[in-house]
Amino acid sequence: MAEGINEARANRYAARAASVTGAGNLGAQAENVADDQNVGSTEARPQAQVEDAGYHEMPDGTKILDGEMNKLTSGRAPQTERRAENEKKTHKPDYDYYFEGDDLLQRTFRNQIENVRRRMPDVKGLGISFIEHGKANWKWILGTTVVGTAVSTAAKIALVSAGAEAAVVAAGLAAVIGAGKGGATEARNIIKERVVALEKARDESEAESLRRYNEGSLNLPTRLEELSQNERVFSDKIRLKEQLKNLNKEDWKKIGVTAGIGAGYGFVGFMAGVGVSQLAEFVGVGKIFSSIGEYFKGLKAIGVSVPDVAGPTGSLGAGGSTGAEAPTQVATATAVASVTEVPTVQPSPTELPATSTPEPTHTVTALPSNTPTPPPSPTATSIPLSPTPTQEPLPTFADKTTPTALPPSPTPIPPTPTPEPVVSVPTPDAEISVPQAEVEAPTFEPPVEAVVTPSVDVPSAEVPVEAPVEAPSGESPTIIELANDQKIEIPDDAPKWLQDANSVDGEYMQAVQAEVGKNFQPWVEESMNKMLAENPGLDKIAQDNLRNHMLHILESHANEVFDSNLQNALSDPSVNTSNLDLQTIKDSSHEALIKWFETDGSKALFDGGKDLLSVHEHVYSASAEFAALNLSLPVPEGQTFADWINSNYQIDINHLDKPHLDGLDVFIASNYDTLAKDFVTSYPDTPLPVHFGEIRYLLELAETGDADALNRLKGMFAGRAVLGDKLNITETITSGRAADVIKNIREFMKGLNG
Amino acid sequence: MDKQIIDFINGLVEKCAANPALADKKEDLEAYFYRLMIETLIDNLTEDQVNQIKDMDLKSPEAQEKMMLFSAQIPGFIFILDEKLQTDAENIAKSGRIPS
Repeated sequence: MAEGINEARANRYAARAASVTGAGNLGAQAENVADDQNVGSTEARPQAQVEDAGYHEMPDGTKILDGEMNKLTSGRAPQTERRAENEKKTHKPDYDYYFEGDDLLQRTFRNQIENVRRRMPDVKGLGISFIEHGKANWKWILGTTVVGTAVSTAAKIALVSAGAEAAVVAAGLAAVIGAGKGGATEARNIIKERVVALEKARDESEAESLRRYNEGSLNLPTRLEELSQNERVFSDKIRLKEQLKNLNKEDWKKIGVTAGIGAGYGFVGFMAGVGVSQLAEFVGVGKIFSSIGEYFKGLKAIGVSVPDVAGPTGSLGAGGSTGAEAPTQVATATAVASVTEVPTVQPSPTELPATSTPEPTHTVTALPSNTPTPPPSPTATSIPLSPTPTQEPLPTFADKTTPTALPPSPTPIPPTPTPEPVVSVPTPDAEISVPQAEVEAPTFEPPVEAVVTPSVDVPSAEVPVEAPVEAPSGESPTIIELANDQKIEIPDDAPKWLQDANSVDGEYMQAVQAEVGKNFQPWVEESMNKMLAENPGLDKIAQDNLRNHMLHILESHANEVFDSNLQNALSDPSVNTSNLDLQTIKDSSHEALIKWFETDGSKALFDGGKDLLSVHEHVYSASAEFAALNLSLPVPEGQTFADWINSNYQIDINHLDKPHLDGLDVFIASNYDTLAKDFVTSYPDTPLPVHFGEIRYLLELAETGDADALNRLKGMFAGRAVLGDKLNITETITSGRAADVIKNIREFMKGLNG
Repeated sequence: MDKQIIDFINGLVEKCAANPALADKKEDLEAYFYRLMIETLIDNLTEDQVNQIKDMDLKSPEAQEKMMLFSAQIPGFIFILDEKLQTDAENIAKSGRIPS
């Protein structure tokens, strides 16, 4: 036993637990039992002596001992009478059910059995469990036999808890009954289902809150208060964990063992309460259970009555009661009052059958692979900070921010052009200036008139393709690919700039960039200045995107023009390829570029920039809401929550599909604890916002088409600024990527509603 | 029962320490698992239970008594605890890293 806590004390705690969990008199009674144990009651435990006693057969064939029938239906028999009855009781090995009557606790128990039956229709052995062990255990728990050991007291706790947590008891039954054939896995699953159900109930409560809010019968402050209630508990848990973190290793061990002991008592009591028939097999579930098995053996060794561990394969009763009544968590006083009067700690060694509990091996058993996804655990220590590994890599934001409408540039170019020429190429046209009137930066008003004449001087369409077809002997030929996808073989004696025409670092490509930088960069910068003057809120990301967008268009077109002129030159039989001068190509390309810009180019840039700016306006609008939504979260130092999302999970602005929402959901869920912990740490006096849990849950529901969830999600985003104000959130966010998350959700919702 | 629990945790530690990266970190592993037990308990406390201990010093005998009581009260807690410990042990054994 852990330091300072002996078993008698544990019994007392267990008794209190019964009281706390709603057992009413049963809890108080159990405490008396603990007291009895402390004072060393030596009353002998009555044995369930095997003598034939008549039994009552129910309409469904269920056989119930007459004595039990009387006792369970008409209230507790006087102790002496009961004891005498116990001493002469026997049972038939073919009983299906042992229990019957009006007792609420009894009905609860029976319904739980039915739960197990429904879940595990192929389970055999329930009958035998109750035939062979259930009687004694049930009576034991009800106080008709012996109470007064640690096990019996803990059993009360477990059974009382069972009244409130029927599914968990069912899980335990499933584990007991199904052990050896997957029952343990089943038990885990049922428990998980129970946990999920509890969470769902909480969420449904929140949904009701929203409904009332939407109706107007609930004002916002009250709703926020309601929504924050659960989160407040979570905040307290986080603080407890923080305190825990500051303890030393010895403290952890001491408290951990204590918690383990408590869990053990709960388990032991539970097992005792439901009638353990396969403890030996159950031990195989995990090593803690091995330890508990050892504990059982230890109890037996000291003479404590422990349920038999006979296997289920004896005379199996089919069972069959429907158990229609709903479980009730409150034991009747009738059932309770009987307990205290029959305390005894005197062991009855003859009742202790040999156990087949295997020795613990302390090997870690593999978890079942088919266990359902557990609800998000708020355990900080186990939460991965990275996105879920099941998510496929998603495109980066950089991928999506490049306007997809741009013509593809067949020749690779750097995403960010060099603003100044980097190649020293003679530029006789360097003095050419673009007429101001023609290249004046757009004002981003709707275009007054469309320049519809596509008189771009790009001759590539007319140029015949004359790619050499003869395969050269010896080395493989150099082939360049042009903007129009044509491939041209370059002779071996061609100048290096030509052979490297497809190389980003080659002279040719750098000449293209230089042409843009020299002739159009000033225009781009001037345009940017005007845009900023008209849109003072444009952030750095937006500016970069806009600038790159314009330069990308310019470079793409410049590349087309250069390639076109190069193709013309290569197809001209009068041109000696080996002497072809890059400057010749530049000269011819320059004029074409200026002409294009004066006609169609500026419009393309204008429209493209306008579209892009529109996107950013949207982003800005969403950003404000996002700021109000999430910036209360002090994520890792130097980052906003949005930064964190972006660094851990890339959202693709061009995809509003379910996988992205799933990913966001997973991200929030998997980081919930960490996010919340950070918040609690930084804002100790502020209730944890409800955002994350809501978002996660509502996204799940919304994806199934749940209208309420959609409305709630909408309300969340629409009303978050209000909440943000309430929480004094004043930070702002500048990351466009994070805002895109909101945009995606909005679009998603719009799609569903449409 | 404390011996069984300690043995159980030691078993997990040995399992993890089979990973060469953790061979010399048994003490840290042990501490981690005990802390995990407590954190798992905290995670599963009800609002009422949290309220009872939130202002307590976790090292105090009173708090420990409460935690033992709560451990016994939480339905199926041993299942929860078992799975949490086993899952974490497997992850640690595979990754060679002890979560912070």
